[in-house]
Amino acid sequence: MSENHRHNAPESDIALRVKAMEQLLTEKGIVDPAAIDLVVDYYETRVGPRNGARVVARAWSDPAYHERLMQDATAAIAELGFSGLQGEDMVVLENTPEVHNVVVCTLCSCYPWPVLGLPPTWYKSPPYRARIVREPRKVLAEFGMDVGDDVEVRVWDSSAELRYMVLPMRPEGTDGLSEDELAARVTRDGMIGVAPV
Amino acid sequence: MSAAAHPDLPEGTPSFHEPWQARIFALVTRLCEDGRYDWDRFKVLLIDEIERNGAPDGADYYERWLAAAERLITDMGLLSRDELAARKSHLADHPPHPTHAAPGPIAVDPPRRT
Repeated sequence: MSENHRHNAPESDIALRVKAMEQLLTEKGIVDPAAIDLVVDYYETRVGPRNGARVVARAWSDPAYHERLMQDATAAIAELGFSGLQGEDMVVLENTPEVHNVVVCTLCSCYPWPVLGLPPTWYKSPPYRARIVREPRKVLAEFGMDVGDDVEVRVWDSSAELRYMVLPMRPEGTDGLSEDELAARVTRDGMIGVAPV
Repeated sequence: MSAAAHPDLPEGTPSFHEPWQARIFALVTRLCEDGRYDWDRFKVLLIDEIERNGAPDGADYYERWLAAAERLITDMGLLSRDELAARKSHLADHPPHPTHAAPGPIAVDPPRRT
């Protein structure tokens, strides 16, 4: 985000509402603006899909880690240093040649922030939230992902209680790759389940 | 759906389009991490805001987030609607950077030696 410092453009109504709230909460000692700065910095620069890609690459490379990830995803993800708000109750869904998983939050925008960052706009849009449930294959095709007729598609609804992340299938021809090289292949959309990896 | 369903941002692009979006997001998450309220309480308000007032394309997501935050803060009794409205109109009347034009540098620190 760039700080557009246009001195003579009046601030928007909505920006003023936010500023009023922050100022009042600060004056009452309820929040500390420096702490708010840290949160902003954290979500803008330190969390994002690269964290999830590290989890996936480790699971592809290390069978013991893979097992821990499938049994207790929250703990296995925390092993790599990723935890926090919206990452407390993680479940990892493994794609196989027979089953393809895709994640949505039908009610709002529940999403595993520590491993995927903040959700993309389309994830929060009502059309995605409604249609991926009704016609998942068609929506996946619109993302450019053709799921074979012989593959079962499972759609999972993330909530405040459980947040899902997809473990994509390891691509063919990647046997000799290092964990870093594997992580570079993993995409955010692959971990939501709307793209192959 | 077409456009609405497709990734509109390259990976790693910040999800905030304007500074206020990041501020309200951070305020709400900070208060939760400080133990001031339970996340579900905010989530219920956010769902309600999205269902009642959300734009069909979801483009107003952080506006809904702000509306839910205002309800949360006032429901908790941390601030009142009147306080928020009064401060907002004060800020609107007193912009931090009044219109001005500086045709040259506004400060100069000359070389120490030449």
